[in-house]
Amino acid sequence: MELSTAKFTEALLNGDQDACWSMVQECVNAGQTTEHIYYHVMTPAMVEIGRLWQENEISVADEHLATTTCDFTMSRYKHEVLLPRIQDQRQDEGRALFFCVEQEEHDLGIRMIAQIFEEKGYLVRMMGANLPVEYALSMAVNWEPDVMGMSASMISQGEKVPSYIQRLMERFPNVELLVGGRFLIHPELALQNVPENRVTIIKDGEGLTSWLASRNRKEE
Amino acid sequence: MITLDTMPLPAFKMSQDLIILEASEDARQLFGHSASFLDWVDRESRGKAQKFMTKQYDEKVELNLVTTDGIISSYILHIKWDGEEGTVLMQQQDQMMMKLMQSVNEHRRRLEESDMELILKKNELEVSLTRIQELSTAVIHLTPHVVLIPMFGDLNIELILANKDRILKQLYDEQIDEMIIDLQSVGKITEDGVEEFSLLLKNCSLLGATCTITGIKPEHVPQLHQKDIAGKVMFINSLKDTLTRIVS
Ligand code: B12
Repeated sequence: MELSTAKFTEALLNGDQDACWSMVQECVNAGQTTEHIYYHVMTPAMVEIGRLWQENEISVADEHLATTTCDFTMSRYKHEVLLPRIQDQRQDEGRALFFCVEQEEHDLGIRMIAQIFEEKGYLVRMMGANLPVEYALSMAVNWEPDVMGMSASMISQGEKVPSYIQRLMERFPNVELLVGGRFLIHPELALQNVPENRVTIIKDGEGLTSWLASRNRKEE
Repeated sequence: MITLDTMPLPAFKMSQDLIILEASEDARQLFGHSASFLDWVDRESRGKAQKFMTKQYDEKVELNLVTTDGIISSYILHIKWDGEEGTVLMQQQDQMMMKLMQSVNEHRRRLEESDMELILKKNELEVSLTRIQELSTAVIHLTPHVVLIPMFGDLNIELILANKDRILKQLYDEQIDEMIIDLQSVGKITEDGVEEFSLLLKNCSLLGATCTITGIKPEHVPQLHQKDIAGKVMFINSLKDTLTRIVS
């Protein structure tokens, strides 16, 4: 584990918003990208929180405090770093809609992704946690996104992903689908047989970066 | 003797390898009939159960358990070992508390978003206000040593305070000899505005610049008089004449 992750984890567990924020600011000042900060500083810290709970070293209450602190830091990042960056930028890369599948409340990850897409110039709609497939469908009918990204963390929610993919693919032949989230670490939930030209499974930051780059190339 | 069914919480007894020896009615209703306690445990909590439901740890452990309706809930398990046999009390983590916490979070997040948006808007406004104020007193060079400052909007204390340092610095840095202030586009003149304006003119003279005021409207006259501005500056009727003088 990187030192920065350990320090960030500690600040999260202490609920120390100021410490979290100044660490993020250091990263920003050192020129780190949003992807880097989210994938390599904040996410590993939350995963470490999960590990500490597994090791009986912290309680659910500690985990909640850490989550709230992480959540706050992300809001602050959006307002103090991201929005000023994109203020004068045209959001014309396409429309991207994001959500977590039904009954999935773990939404920190998908919120990070939504922010990254905003920074990249997409017009973003963030539908948040727990979105039943019918809502996703009707939202997409009305808003006509070019990209839809879905997230699942828990095993039982990951099992719902194939049916979301199927319903969305049938209904929207031109929408590109992205799938991510922690459930992908379970090999038996790995989505096989999904058409690669329609659905991209994104396992890590590099996966996202290369998808974004290849989409840029396609556009040109 | 105390039986499991008399316990205030769902309870069971298990062996060291987590085989259920006996379970209370409540426990069975919630989690079903199973041979091993691990069958009640969420897949991703099983490792934790195996590691911490052992004799060395003899205290309490938080685990995610799966009820017969397939819902994952978080439980605190209190364990007491008696030889080879462990008795476990199952306390559900307060769902109300969790829900409350989540909705508090939700509200806080909304507040934060709107709050931050307001702060940002305010910053933006402040920036454009300063910009407007700067533009309202732009310093235009007629010759290297003669400048024209056409003022716009209301001549109030805010306008002068926001700009006087910049103007004085420019007069000094650029060694300006003559400064013409055009009030033609000024709306209201406030009392404290005129006071501050008069101070600004005094400072300008101290820096060695002659000040001329032009474009005075009839309604401005009484205020300008009051503050003894007349003693400090020269008034001209038409900017055009002065310009001809300077240019020729
Ligand atoms: C924080 C946390 C919570 C928070 C969630 C807060 C929130 N608003 O998100 C709270 C405390 C509320 C919570 C609740 C619960 N949790 Co929880 N939680 C965690 C924890 C510790 C960390 C998760 C996290 O935030 N990770 C950080 C994020 C940023 O990572 P991420 O989601 O993977 O996202 C990254 C990538 O995957 C990617 N990504 C994500 N989605 C997408 C989508 C696209 C399109 C793309 C491109 C990329 C992408 O983006 C991110 C970038 O790095 C994990 C432990 C762990 N090891 O993960 C348990 C964990 C996920 N929770 C678990 C459980 C069981 C629960 C509860 C059921 C507990 C309970 N009984 O109350 C509830 C369930 C609520 C529900 N119905 O969903 C289990 C799941 C087990 C399982 N069977 O799957 C875990 C694994 C803990 C454990 N070991 O038991 N939890």
